[in-house]
Amino acid sequence: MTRKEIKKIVFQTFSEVIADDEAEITENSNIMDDLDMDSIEMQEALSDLEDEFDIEILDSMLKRMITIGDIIDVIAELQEKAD
Amino acid sequence: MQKNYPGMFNMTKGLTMIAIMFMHAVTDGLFGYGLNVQSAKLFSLQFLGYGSMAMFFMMCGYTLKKKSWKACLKAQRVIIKPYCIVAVSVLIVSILSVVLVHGSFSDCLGAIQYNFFPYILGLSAGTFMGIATHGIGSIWFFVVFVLDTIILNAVLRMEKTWMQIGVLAVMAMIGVHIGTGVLLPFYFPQVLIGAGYMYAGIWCKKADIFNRELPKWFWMLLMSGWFVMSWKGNINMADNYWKCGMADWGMSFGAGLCLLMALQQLNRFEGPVSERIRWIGRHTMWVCCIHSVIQIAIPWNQLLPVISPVPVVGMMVEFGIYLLSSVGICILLEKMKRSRKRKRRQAKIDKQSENSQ
Repeated sequence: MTRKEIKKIVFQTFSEVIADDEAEITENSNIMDDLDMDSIEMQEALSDLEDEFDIEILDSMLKRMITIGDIIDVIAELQEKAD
Repeated sequence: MQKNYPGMFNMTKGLTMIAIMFMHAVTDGLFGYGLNVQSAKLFSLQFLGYGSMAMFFMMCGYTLKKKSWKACLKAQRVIIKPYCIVAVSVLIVSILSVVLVHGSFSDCLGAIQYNFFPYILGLSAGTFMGIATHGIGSIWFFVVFVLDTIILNAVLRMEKTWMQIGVLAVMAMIGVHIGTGVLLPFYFPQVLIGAGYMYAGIWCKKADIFNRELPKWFWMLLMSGWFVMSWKGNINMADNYWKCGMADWGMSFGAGLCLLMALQQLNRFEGPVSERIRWIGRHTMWVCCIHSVIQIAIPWNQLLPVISPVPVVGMMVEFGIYLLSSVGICILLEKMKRSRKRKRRQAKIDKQSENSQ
């Protein structure tokens, strides 16, 4: 899967979880500060991504996930390893 | 310096979830063996318990933001769904346990009334309109969290900060004033009180409290207040007990903040044990739900003396059962969910390839 395809799915997952038409998601969006998500929604979004890409995001990896772009990078890395 | 990231509280949540199960095993044990709860009270437990609920609410408030009403209400389904699952599970297990001991139809009705009825109105243990209820157990926090999130979404719309603080302080005053005597639906007094704690969590984020160094005297002041007040006062938020009234509420903010800061320091540890604790923290909601069902549905009071005549052994066995079963069932549910989704995805891929051929 290319980074572009991963990006599309990540954006779609986050916008579904946020469920706010006004929310704007970009690669630079800071997950904790810019997106209107609480901790449970974040957990839900990550869990959906794990299911979608059939990967396991370890807690040690969460520390790297500051922006949406970071999430895409981590997923791309995990997919590469799996392949 | 630590940056804010999703799951930054997983270690703290995991540790506190384990502590909750331990505390429930101790209190169940004390009742099960007919021991005096007051005589078993330790200052260290009272000290930690003093700030624990404030800390929980602050953690939840940390990620809270003003949202559109549609998004705010939709987000609550994530909590309401497990609440309903717990209610149905308790109902099934309660009826099963009555049927297994050859109980009559009226016994079944009694079990439903005692164990399931509290979930409809979100009641704590006690008597509501003449009906004795077991209460909804540890998931009372879910009820308060949902209602407080909605209340804060309204409060955050107020323009002035002093207005927001004023409203929350008045709400807390009413909540504390209600006290332990009255059993109200949906943990109404706790909802009024908890909103202030969650609001403090929002300010912790605004002040970037985890990424900046605050003066030592500030922490010393909070620590001293925590120590003195946990000695003089006492808090049991689940029962809405505030020994020193609003003084307890006010000082518990400092205690909660100190406790949160102290536990967050453990977040620097890496390794298999830390990773497992973080896993529990990440799945706290479901671990808490499973624990709640096991706690309510199993008659521990009758079971404990059978397990062991020694109270400490009984409590430790109960704690072990709580921990292993809650985590074990949670792992199992996760695996089942994954495998179901994988099958669904595979079916979708197969269908797509069939269509393309």
